[in-house]
Amino acid sequence: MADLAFQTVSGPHHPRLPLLPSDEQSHMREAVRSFLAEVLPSPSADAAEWNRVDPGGALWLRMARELGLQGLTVPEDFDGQGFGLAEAAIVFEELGRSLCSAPLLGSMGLAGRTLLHAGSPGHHWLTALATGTMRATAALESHGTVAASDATTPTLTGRIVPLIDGVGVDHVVVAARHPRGTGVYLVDTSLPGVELTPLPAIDLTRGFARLTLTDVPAEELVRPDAVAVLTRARAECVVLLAAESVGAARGALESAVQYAGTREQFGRPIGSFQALKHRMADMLVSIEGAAAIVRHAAVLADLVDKRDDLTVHDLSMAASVAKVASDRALSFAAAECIQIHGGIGFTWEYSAHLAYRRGVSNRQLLGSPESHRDALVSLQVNDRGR
Amino acid sequence: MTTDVEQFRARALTWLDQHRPRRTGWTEANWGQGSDLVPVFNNLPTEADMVALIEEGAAWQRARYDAGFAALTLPREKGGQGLPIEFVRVYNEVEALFDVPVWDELLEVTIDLVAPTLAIHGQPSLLEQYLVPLLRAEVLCSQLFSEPSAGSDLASLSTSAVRVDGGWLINGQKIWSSGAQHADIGLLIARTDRDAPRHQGLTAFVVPLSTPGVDVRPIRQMTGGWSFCEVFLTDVFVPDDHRIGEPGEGWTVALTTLKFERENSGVKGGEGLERKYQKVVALAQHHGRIDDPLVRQALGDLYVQVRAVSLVAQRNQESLEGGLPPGPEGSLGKLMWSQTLGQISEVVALILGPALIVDDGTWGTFTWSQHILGAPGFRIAGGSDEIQRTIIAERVLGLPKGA
Repeated sequence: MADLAFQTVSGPHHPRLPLLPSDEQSHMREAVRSFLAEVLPSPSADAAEWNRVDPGGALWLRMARELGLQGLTVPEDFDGQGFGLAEAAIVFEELGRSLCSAPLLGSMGLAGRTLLHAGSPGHHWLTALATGTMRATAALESHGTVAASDATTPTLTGRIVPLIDGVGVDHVVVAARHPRGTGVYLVDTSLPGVELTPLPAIDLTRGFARLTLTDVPAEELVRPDAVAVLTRARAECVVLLAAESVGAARGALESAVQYAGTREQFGRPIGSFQALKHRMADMLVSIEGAAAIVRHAAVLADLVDKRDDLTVHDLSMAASVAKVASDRALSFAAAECIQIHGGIGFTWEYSAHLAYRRGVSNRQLLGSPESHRDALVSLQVNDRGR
Repeated sequence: MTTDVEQFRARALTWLDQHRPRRTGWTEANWGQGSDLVPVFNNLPTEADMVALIEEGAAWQRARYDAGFAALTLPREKGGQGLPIEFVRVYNEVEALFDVPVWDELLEVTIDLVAPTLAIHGQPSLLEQYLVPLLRAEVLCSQLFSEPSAGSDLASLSTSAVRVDGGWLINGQKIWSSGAQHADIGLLIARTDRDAPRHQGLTAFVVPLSTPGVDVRPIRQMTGGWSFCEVFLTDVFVPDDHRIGEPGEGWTVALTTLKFERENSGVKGGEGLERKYQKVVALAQHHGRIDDPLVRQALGDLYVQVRAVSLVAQRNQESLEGGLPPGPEGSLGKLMWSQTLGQISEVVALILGPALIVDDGTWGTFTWSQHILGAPGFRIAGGSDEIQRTIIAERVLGLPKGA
């Protein structure tokens, strides 16, 4: 009865999912925000990389200990907090808002979600991930990586560029082709045959690396076919990435509003001029749209296993919508934030370019907006008569 | 409470099933069947058709009201059902499954804007006379707000109301009054005190449009239709019991109506846009354009925009249901909605190409010209896009007021 409204005769159905945060979720946002404000007082281009922010890894462990961010979505059985994507998306919005360079997309997102969905063979790794003692990421597309298994242990060969949050990781979850499909494997980066090279990147607040594997023995997590696991993990990570972009866009808008409200020209605050006001209103419109979309996708992701009327197909749709909306919100807000700041916005010292860089980079991660738009049409048109 | 809502939902479903057919949608599968109208402003060939359309909508409203499925949130003593706001949403969700009469802007103004404004600000005698008739769409009401020299700057309006024995004498000109040619009364804002600060010298009235001195002249708009009017008022006598609120409170009354107007387009836009999106997809399929990469990009983008409107509207609705006061966030919805209408036009033009510009009688094709020609109107009606942006900038973002 509850879903009566959505038994429409044609078109994709949209179960109404609650969008307002719970009190607990709001408190979580506040806690993450104040933690980040304390440890990352103001982002600067010269210290934006996580390895400079946290050279000894103490902050990473503190983040695990005090907030449990690394284990936020890890089940309690594996020493995690057992929260879902709805909470994780809120955390990622805050991470994006402060342009935090901590590699949580790789750890909690790419590696964590894949290990979780891969099933029991990889679950024991979740504890190390949750406590922050394991630093991992994942490559969800095979990039031509192949798995050979002539002996009992499969070996991987391939080259993955760019590996998201790959700098300094000790493990990488890798999707690789084998003769009967695509499998998921876990690689220890300390083994011979592994080359992990940090790469210069447009986004100064995310670590990218190149991973080269030459006959590296790997632990097989899913086989024969891991497409379902990878599809779901990827969609969830798209939602987290989108949440991060929405947060970064919000940060850019807040900064623009703050500056425009105080900077004076022609004897009055520049924020009183309609040309600027209207642009900031447009920034808010695109951010609020993207935020509602991301929230919906995150809530949906948590219900896929719990409700009969929701499937991974719905999640993929919601995630693609989120990616397109959030990419647009961030690229627009970050560019306008620079413009509204004038000359200072174009300087290296001022942080406005960091959000702009994040936007240029995020747009290309986990599928471009162009590929997601196309996917949306495929998902709908093939969906008829469902 | 949940049980109440679910019982209400079941009751609404049963009642609707007794009175209306289920909606069949507009898909590639049933292409060519039924009405292909997709206007932004209703525009039928003859005046008689328009009257019939409005009457069909009004009859539907009466049926709903009499069955207890309208005026849900108004208190019982004011002719409503006294229900929490979530019942409105639930009813709309159920009704969306059914094929119901085409809604006209005049009905929306009467039922969703004027009636609730009157319920808040009207004196008991005025409510007694008009509220239920308005809610039952027996009496239809047009807004007499804008003037030739007072559009976005509504508070500068100059139509005057001067006290005379037993009432007021009104002189001036109103414009952009939707459906006034089919309305029985008007909600009019006039200047009653020229010496007071401009927002404080205004007063609101209910003006029967049959009163001598009222001259309603329809204006033809760019769609070819006649959705709105100019209304000339020459020595129009309005009894004092037709005043809404105290003299000088007209601006407050106007703001109440404008707030309902923003909310209305902001909250209910989503569902209609989702349906229109489905029609655009069907259009692309029918015309063999669904595999064109440009069309796919445009459709994907439109879908994202439509979802944004729906979900922002839903979030606003949840805030309202949670008892949070409605705020200027309604401006977000109105702006997003009018932008989406324009985006639909763009995608349809991309899909149809030259087939869009001439009518060769093909079902579901030239009909889109009414959408394309109507969409620009909603960037202006109900507070222009620019006014909405200023509201968002000043009241949501807290930017300083302009000079």
